[in-house]
Amino acid sequence: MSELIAAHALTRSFSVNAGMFRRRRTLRAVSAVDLTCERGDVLGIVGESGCGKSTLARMLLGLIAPSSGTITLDGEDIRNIGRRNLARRVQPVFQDPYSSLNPRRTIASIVALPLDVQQIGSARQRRKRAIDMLERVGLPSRHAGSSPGQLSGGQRQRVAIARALVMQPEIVICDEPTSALDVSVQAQILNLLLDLRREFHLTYVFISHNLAVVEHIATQVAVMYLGRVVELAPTASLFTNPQHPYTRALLASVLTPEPGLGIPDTGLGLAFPDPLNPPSGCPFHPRCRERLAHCSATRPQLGRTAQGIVACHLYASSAQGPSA
Amino acid sequence: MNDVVLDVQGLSVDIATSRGSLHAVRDVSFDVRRGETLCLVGESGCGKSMTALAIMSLLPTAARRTARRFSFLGEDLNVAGEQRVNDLRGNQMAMIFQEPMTALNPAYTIGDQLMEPYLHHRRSGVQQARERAVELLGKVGIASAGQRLNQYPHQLSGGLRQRVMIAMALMCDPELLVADEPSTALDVTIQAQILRLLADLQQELGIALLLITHDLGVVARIAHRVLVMYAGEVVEEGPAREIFATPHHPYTRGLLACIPTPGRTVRGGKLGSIPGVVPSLVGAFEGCGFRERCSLAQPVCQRTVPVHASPTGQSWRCIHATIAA
Repeated sequence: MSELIAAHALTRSFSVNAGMFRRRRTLRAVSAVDLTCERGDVLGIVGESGCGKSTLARMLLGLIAPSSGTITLDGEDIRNIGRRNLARRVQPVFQDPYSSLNPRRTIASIVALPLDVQQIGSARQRRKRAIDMLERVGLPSRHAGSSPGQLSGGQRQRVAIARALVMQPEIVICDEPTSALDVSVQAQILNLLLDLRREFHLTYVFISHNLAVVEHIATQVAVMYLGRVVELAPTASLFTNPQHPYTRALLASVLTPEPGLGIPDTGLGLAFPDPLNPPSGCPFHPRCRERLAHCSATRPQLGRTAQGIVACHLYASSAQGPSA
Repeated sequence: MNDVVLDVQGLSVDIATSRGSLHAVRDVSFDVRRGETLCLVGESGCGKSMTALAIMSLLPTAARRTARRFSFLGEDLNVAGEQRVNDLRGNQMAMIFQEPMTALNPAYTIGDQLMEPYLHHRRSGVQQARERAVELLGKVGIASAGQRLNQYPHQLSGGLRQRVMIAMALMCDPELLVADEPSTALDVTIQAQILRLLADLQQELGIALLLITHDLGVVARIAHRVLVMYAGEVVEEGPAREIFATPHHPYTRGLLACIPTPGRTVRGGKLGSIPGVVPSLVGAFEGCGFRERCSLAQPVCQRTVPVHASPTGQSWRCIHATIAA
């Protein structure tokens, strides 16, 4: 097993204002997350807004520090790697290509910036590498002198991808990279990401709320709910045989373009829990159709099943690990 | 045919820009009947939202609407004055916007905002309006509605806010409901709930629903009829089943091939994609708007493009009467 990037008991809390005259409260955006991603894999992370996906991504990039727990890259704690060296190996592609590119710089200088920061090669070599990478992602060199404002959303996202790849990183953390794009452009970007992965032997952590996209691109999928991973499995088994009731509800709510199937009843109810005051026991129990008597009392631990890893009392008999 | 609620023929919207006139909507025709859901689908910039705003007479001041026919419940709105349109809007024709965060006023309680159209259009007393608001909040699935009336929008989740928006649109029993991307800003689980609610209410109340979306998954599940728009024009229309089973226009076919769909696309394989970009809609435009991105384009595509129709009620604007699959 060649685990490339891994999170161990990763937790991040934020202190938030609850109101002018109230005490500050602690919001746990990510709680005790254990994840591993092997070299060459595409780890998809799915969940509703507020489940901690983006906080996790920012921690994996080293942009924010965990409150507790560690992240390892090839077995080494990223705190010991240093910001600049980490940036050589882990690069981001963000959701919004309108705000993630500096509007006052040219495309070529945006893509060359990581090389400038790392002081790789001469200015001429850096520009050459930037232009080569732009061509590789499908932007002809005539665009090199354009500013982001002259490009379409899809072209901008290509620039963001070129900027991430110009350092030849091992891992690219993609946080909703196609969510702001039209479907025809989304397909182009997904095709590009899959081609680049093969060509440069990349590993992706791919965060998205779009389950169809994740099913298409990911090899492993982690489902998050209220800051925790509730299920982790290879893509094929997660989508054909979801274990956790939340995963099942999430998959049931996907509207595939098949007329006549009608609109599914997810059975999730209206109550999305308050992340400042998460439910006791299993965080999903208030919305769960299959809850058991003790679901509100004890939180299920992640346990191994035939499919993958799941945190649910329904599988407690087959699960191993300490019972809380 | 007194079932027709809205009948629009030859609708165009032109926007004055510094570079000339931008033809955002070009010669769009459709009708919506009682109890029917008509979906306008297309990518950004195709003119679908402008069509919705034109119907609601909410276009920005730089935009000009023209239509050969624009009739609502038999009344010609081409000649209706501003006062008449104000009487209809929020009353017999209502709209749901995409962003429930920005469409609700943060400074007023949801009760105030729910009651406002009712008080205005029905000239009713506050007590009556309040009862109606409670009734509709219950209908859109919000529990303890009486207490919710005193809450402010920020105290509600995105899904609840969108339910409030729906309730607000229904306050005066509209005949026509225009929903512009009503579920796009929501999570998938909430999206399914909101669409289910809309579909149920539409059936129950017999409303004509014009739903605007970019999401073909939503269209497939909710639409009776579909209009596919591209570059300001309707390129294909027909019953939802036919559009998805036998899409004729190359753009519709391309769009469907772009979506990763289990069973139809190979996981990790190449998705279909449409090369190129949408043409500029500024200035005079002739021929098929899709021709520069189309693999089946011919020189004649630069001239006026015919409309073909199938016996199943599908029609498409293309030089090709049939396309070999």
